[in-house]
Amino acid sequence: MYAINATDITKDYGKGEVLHGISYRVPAGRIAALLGPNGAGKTTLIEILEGHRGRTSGTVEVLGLDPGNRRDFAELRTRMSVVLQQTMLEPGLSVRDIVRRHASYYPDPLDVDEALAQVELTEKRSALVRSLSDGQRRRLDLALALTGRPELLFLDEPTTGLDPVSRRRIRALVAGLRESGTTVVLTSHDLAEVQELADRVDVIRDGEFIASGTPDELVRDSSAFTVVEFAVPEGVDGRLPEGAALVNGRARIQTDDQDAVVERVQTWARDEGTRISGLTIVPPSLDDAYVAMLENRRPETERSE
Amino acid sequence: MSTTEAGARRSPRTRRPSSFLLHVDGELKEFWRSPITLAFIVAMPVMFYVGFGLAFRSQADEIRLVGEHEITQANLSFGGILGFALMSVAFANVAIGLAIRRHHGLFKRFRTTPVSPATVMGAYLVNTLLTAVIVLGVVTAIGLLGMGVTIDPARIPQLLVALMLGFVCMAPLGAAVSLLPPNADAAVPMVNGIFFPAAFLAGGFVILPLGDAVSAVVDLLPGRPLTVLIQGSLSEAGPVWDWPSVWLLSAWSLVGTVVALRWFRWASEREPRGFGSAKRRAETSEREDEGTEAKG
Repeated sequence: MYAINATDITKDYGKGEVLHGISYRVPAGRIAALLGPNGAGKTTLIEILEGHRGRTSGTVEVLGLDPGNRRDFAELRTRMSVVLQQTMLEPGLSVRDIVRRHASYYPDPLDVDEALAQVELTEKRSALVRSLSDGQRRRLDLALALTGRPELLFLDEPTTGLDPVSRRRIRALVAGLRESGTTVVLTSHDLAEVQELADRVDVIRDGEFIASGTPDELVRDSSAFTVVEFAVPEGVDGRLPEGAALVNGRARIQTDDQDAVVERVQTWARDEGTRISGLTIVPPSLDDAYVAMLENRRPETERSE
Repeated sequence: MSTTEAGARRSPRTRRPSSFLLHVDGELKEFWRSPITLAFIVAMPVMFYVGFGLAFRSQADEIRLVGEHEITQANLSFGGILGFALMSVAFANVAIGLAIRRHHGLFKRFRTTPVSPATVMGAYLVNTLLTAVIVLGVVTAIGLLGMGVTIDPARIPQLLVALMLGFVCMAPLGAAVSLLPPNADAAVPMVNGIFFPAAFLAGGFVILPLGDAVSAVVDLLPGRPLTVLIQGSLSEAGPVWDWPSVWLLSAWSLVGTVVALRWFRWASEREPRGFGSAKRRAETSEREDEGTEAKG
């Protein structure tokens, strides 16, 4: 069952198409990440799914409803939540005031204290918004989004600009949503975050999907390299294994076949009569895979299942 | 379902305060806890009045002529300040407040929730009305207690109607002007760039020596008829209503309302729009529904 099922979506602002007949599906209860460079069409697609932007053609079902239909959109807003990247919270209101007001929009909301407990803001319930740190405001954003018990949550750059502790807290919160069965659509430029959280990743560029899959699949299928490094032993006199470069006193080899390289390095050491120390093997990250994808456009792979 | 069951299911909802009341509560707290708004919207008209009133205190009982009506200097200044305060609260405050809310994404946030536009805007207007009542009340108290203002009790309803008409004109115009600033930073200078010249050209404090052509244009702007109606209700004698001013204010009210609703936007970008696009969205979906049914 899909929380989002969009087919052949096009969007034309009058200066040419921004989305070129793309299809996008997100299974219910999963965390799906949507990646793409600025201007790729990511925000347009998300806003079409959220019902805040019209589509030129195509069909869209979000929780079984068409966000482009007025009646469906009204119901959809009670069943989904959106955490926008940068929005104002009234600085003169208390945390409790804002959550209580937000809860009043929904038929069966979380209790204010329950919502604040979820984001660890209970002790700040009487504090004015203007006194909160950026991380606390972001957690308040999440509390508001969770207040209506959403089945689907759109998260736009949830941890941008936050300190590591706040980032970790928010990631834990989002990961916890998967356990509760909430579907999450995440957009982020922090690919470590995406790699940690997402079940599915779709990469969009120039209004088309260029890759889809789990984070591991995207990394595996990308042209990003594993990096094998070791300390250059004394006495080799500048002789290095084939394909190796000297970087800061260490030999570095980029490869898509780490086993072959390790074997080659061991053979070289034996031939040189020396021992290898400080060997490290760093597999490519989603960040590496993403950059490789954008630099070398690959044939479109299977989209979200 | 039994009545008891229905009642039991309804009771949690009925115990909760309505979204509208919570929005009004939020608007009030946000307004009265903001030092900048308090300084510019509430304190400024009061300080203007105190300064202006003290400057003319010795001439308080002197008779001035406004149009064909005689009015004391005290009442002339008082009427001018009432118009200025009303424009400050209902026009400048609304225009700046809505522009900032729009460009900082507050409206966009509301747009993602089930709350209705009527709730959001209604609460904002209720707060503006309450603020106007408070500011005008403070100005009136100062005028009556310390500036030699005299109000004929028989003319009070006329004064109140004039002020209400001014509010109904200025608030929609403020909402319309809130569409002009391209970003939040531009809101204050742009709106004040309209408000201050308009307030002084309205002739509430001094009658500026304008040429005939400029005067003819200024007479058509909303500030002048508002001042005429307020000062008319404070004059020693004269007609109860200046009907051309009433029609002019009503026309400006209509213009402001139409522009504010037709071009209302939830966010900084052109899309999505709110009230103006709701009908079109409904029409589109109805056409789609009809098309589906026809095919079926």
